[in-house]
Formats: sequence, structure tokens, C-alpha cells
Amino acid sequence: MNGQDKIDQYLPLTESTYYTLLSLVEPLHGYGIMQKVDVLSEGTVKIGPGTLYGALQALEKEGLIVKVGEEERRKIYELTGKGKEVLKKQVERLVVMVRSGSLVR
Amino acid sequence: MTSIKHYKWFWPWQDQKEEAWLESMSQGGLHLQSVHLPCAYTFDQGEPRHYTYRLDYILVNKEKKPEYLQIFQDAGWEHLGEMSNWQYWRKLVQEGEFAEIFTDRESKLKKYQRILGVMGFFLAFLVFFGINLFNNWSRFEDLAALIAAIYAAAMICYAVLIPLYVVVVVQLLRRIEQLKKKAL
Repeated sequence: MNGQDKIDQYLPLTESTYYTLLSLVEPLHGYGIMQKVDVLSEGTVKIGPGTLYGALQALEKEGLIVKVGEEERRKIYELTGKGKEVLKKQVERLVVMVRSGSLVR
Repeated sequence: MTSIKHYKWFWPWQDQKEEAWLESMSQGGLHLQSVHLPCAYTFDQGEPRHYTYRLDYILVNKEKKPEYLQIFQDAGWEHLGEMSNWQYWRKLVQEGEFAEIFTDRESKLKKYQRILGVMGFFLAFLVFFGINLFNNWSRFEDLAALIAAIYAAAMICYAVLIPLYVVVVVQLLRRIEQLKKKAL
């Protein structure tokens, strides 16, 4: 029960946060994340540098992502186990939403 | 290239006004070079250009600064300097193109909450010491005229600064409430 609460407190994720986490299933740095989010969201979500920097700080603080390397002045991040759990939970919720959304088509 | 100085005061909640002013200056051929004091701007004279100026307010330590700057620079933003936690950014845009450093409401909100945090801290500090000073006034009156004058001057400063900071905090709270307002 406790474990679930730890994950649930982060949901629902904002679109920016969701795509940021998603793009970090593989190690990536700041600008790489911005580009990947654009691709993953099929152009529907764009992340500005101010938004991204804040998201990375918060996600790292909460232990959802971790720094795995550095390239010049760019820090490279990757999803942690906890981050994967949060992402999976969010996707589960979205699947239910989309399924019930067929009502409106 | 000639340098021109302009003096203008913007309150912490008037960042959008400041951004618009810098953009109109660039459209007139004056491009921000640096900010010296909170009200002193130095411009380079050149051709009119379509720049988007954006101000960030961030408390970032020396360790994290390079990463912060690189993320913006990779995204095509040019850093013009900083002034008391305010970071000045600009990007060249095409006619009709939009560039933003904050792309969702939550992160925009957080910026104003950061400003509020710092201003609120100063206000609390001023109030605490102001009350302290006021309570001890009777003791200072008996001291030498010079010391009493210094304390009187300090009290006047507090009397001016405290209402100012209250106004700043209130206006920031209003801006934050505006951003928080969602129809749903």
C-alpha cells in the first residue's frame, strides 16, 4: 500500500513531464530530450528550455531520473527504476482513458 | 559599434513589460548588450532585428550554472547576462514565429513562486528587524544624538521598504493567482 502511494503522488503527470520521462528510457542530455519529446509527441508537445531545466531538477530530486554521465557542459540523464514505475502507472491510466474515450467517437 | 545607455525601472511582476520593451528596442535597431544595475541597460546600435527577449528568474548555484546555460544555448537562445537572479535571454525569430522558454503553465507559475519566495523572505526579514528596532526605540532616544539619528534613519528606511515589499508580494500573488485560474 505504501509503495503505491509513493508512485501515485506523482500522477497524473503533465504532458511535458510525461514525455520528458519517456524520452529518458535511454540516456539523453537536455537538448536531446527536447528533440525527442517533439518526435515522441508527434509535434503536439514542445518543451522550452526553462520548462525542461525545472523538470530535470525536480525529477532528479524525486529520484525518478539519475545523472549517468557528462558531455562538455551537458548532463546526461536516464530513467531510474522508480521513474519507470511512475511512467508505467501513468500509461496504464492513459490506456483506460483512451479506451473509455471511444464513447465519444 | 556605438553603445547607448538607457535607464528604466521594472517591478518584479513586470517582466513581460520588460520583455516587450526590449523587443521594441530591437525593432528600432537597439539591441541589449548587458544590464548593469537593476535599472541600467546598455544597448548596441545596429540594424533592426526581430528578437524575442525572455527573462528567467532562477537561483542556481555555480555547480549547476553551466548545465542551465547549455540547455538554453542548445535550444538557440543567446545569454545576455544576469542581474539579481534574473537571466536575460534572446532568440532571433522569423516574422510570425514564436519562441518561449516556458512552454507550460506549471513551469511559468513556478518562476513567479521563486520570485515570491525571495521577496517574501526579504519582507519577513524587514518586518522582523523593523519591529525589533521599533520596540527598542525608547532606549535609543537617550543615547547620543548621532546614534539616535542613525536609528531614526534606519526606522525611516524600514517604513519605506516594508510597504514597498508588501506591494511586490501582493502583485506577485495576483500574478500567480491569474496563472492558477483554470476554467476546468
